[in-house]
Amino acid sequence: MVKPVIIAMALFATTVHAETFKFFGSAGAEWQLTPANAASALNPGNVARLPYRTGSGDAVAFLDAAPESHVWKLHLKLRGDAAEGGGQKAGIGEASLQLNPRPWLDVTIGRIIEKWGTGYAWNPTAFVSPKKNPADPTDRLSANRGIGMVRTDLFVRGTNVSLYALDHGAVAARVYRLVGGTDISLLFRRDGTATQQGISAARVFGDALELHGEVARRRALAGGQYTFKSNVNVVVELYRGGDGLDAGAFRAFRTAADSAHDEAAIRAANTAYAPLHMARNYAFVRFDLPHDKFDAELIAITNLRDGSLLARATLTRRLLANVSVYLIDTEFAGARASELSYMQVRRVTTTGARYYF
Amino acid sequence: MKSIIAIALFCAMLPSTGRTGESDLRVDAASVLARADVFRNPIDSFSVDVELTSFAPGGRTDISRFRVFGKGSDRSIVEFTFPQTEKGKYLLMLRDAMWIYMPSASRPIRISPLQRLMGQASNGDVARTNFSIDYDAKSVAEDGDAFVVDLLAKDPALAYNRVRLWIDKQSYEPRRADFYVVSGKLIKRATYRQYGTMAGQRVVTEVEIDDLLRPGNRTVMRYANLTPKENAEKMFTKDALGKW
Repeated sequence: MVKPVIIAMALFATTVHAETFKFFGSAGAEWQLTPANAASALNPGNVARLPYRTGSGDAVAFLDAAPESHVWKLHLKLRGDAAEGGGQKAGIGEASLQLNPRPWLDVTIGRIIEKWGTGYAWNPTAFVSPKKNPADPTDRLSANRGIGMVRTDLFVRGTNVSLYALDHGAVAARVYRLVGGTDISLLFRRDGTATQQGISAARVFGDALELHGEVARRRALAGGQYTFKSNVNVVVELYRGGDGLDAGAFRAFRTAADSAHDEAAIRAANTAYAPLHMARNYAFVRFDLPHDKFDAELIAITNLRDGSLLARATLTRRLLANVSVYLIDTEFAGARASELSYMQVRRVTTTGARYYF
Repeated sequence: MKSIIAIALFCAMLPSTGRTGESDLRVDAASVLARADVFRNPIDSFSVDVELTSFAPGGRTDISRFRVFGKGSDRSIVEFTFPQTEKGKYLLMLRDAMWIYMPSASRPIRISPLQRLMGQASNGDVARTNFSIDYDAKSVAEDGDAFVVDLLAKDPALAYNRVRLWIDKQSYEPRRADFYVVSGKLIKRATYRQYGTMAGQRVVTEVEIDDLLRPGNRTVMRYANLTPKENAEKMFTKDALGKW
C-alpha cells in the first residue's frame, strides 16, 4: 500500500501550492567499542566474530508542507545510514498525506509512525507501534519506521477517536479523552489471527509527579516520574510481560546455551536469546540531570527474577546551538547464568557527534 | 521546560493598554483584578514569536525561540524553533495539563510542570500565575501610582501560593509581580519592562523574570509579530499535537 501512496503524494505535491514548509533534522557520526564477552556461553572465544570497534553515520530529515489553511499536509521522514566497511542504506521512515475536510475530521494515508501508550520504557498497549527498546526508549537516532495505514481522526467534544485500516486487513481503533485531569485511552487492534484490547492512563499530581499505567492482555505496566526542584527527573516503571519466558522456559534456554558446543547449537541458542524478553517481570529506572549545556542520564533495567542488570549512562554536551557531542556507556551485570550474563559483549561504549539543521 | 511554561502563559495574558483606566480607589480587589485581566488578553486567537534569553552569573547566556499559538486565556501551543536541537518539538498546555510532542517520540507525552525539556536556566514556573484563572484577588492597596493586588492561589498545588501584582492606576498595565511560596518566602519577580504596539494593540513586548533564590539568574522574554490567527479548536487537543 505504501509505494502507490508515496507516488500519489509526489504527484499531489507537484500540483498544489504549499505556503508553509518545515524542514529540519540531524546528521551524526558515532563510534562504538564492543569488547566480546568471552565468558558468555553464546559467544565463547568470540565465535560470533563481533568487531571490537565499529563506526557509522546517519542522517534523518523531516519535511512538512501545508497551505496556510492547513486543509492538507504532506509529511516525510527520510533516513540514511552508512556503516564503516561499506554498508549503506536509505529509506523513507514516514510518508503521509493528511487531509482535513472538516474542522473535526482528519484523514491521513501513507506510512506513519503511530505510538500508543503512556509508558516510558515499555508500552503494553502499543498494538500498532514500532517495537520499543527499553534501553533506548526515545529512539535517539530516529530510526523507527512507520507502517502503511489509513488513519481517520475524529475530534468530537473533547473526545478523540482514531480509526485505522492497516496492511494485511488489520484494523485498529483508539479512543482518547481527558477525564478529570487524567488521560484515558482505550485501544483495540484486530487482524486475521488475534484481537487485542488495552487501556492506558496518565495523570499529573501537583507540579512534579506524574503517574501512568497501561494494561493489555498478559501485559501491564505501572510507573511514574518525579521532577525535583534541582531539575533531576526520575522515572520508575514496573513491567509485567506475559509473553516473556517463565522460569521453566528460561531454565531450558540456559541448559541449551550452556551445553552448546558446536556452531549450530550455539547459533540456535543465540537465536533464542532476546535480551529483556527472557523473563516476565522487569523494573526500569531513569535519572536525568540537565545542567547548563550538559545532560547526564542514567538508565537501569533489571530482571526481577535473577537480578541481572543493564545500566546505560549518557553524557551529552551541547557545543553550539546546532551541534552536540555525547558519550554513552552500557554495562551488563549479573550472576552466572542470569539473563544478562549471556550478553555476547561485555559492554558497549559509544561516542559521537550530531549536527542539527 | 520552565521557560516554555512561562512563554505560553505569558502570551496568553499579554497585557494591553488599549483602554485607559480610571483610578477608582473605592473598587475592591476583585474588580481591580478583573479590570486588569481585560488587558491581558488582547486577542482571543493569535500567534506570536517569543525569544527567551537566560542570563546566569559570569555573563553566560542562552537563547531560545518559539512560536506560540493561543486560544482563549488558557490554551496554548508552543512550537520550538531555536536552537536547532529543539526543532520539531511542540508543547500543548490546556490550563494546568501539559503534553510535549517530540518528533523522535512521535506521540504526545504527559509531563508535569516542573519537568525540564531544555538544559537552560530559566524561570518559567512563574508562568503558573495565570492570575484570572488560578488566583483569587483578596485585597487591594496603593503604592504610589499603582494598585497592589494581593492574590491567593485557588489550588494549593500551584507553585506560588501568593502573588502581589502591581498595576498602573491610570493604564492598568501590569508593572511587576512578586511570587511567594507557601512558607511566605518571596522567590520570583517579574517586571514588565517594555510595551509596544502589535496587531493594533498596545501590549507588553518585554518581561524580565528574576530568580531571587539564585541571584544573577534572570530571564528576559521578548515578544514580536503578534498576529490574530484563527487557530482551529482541534489544534488544542492532545491527539492533534504534531499533526497539524
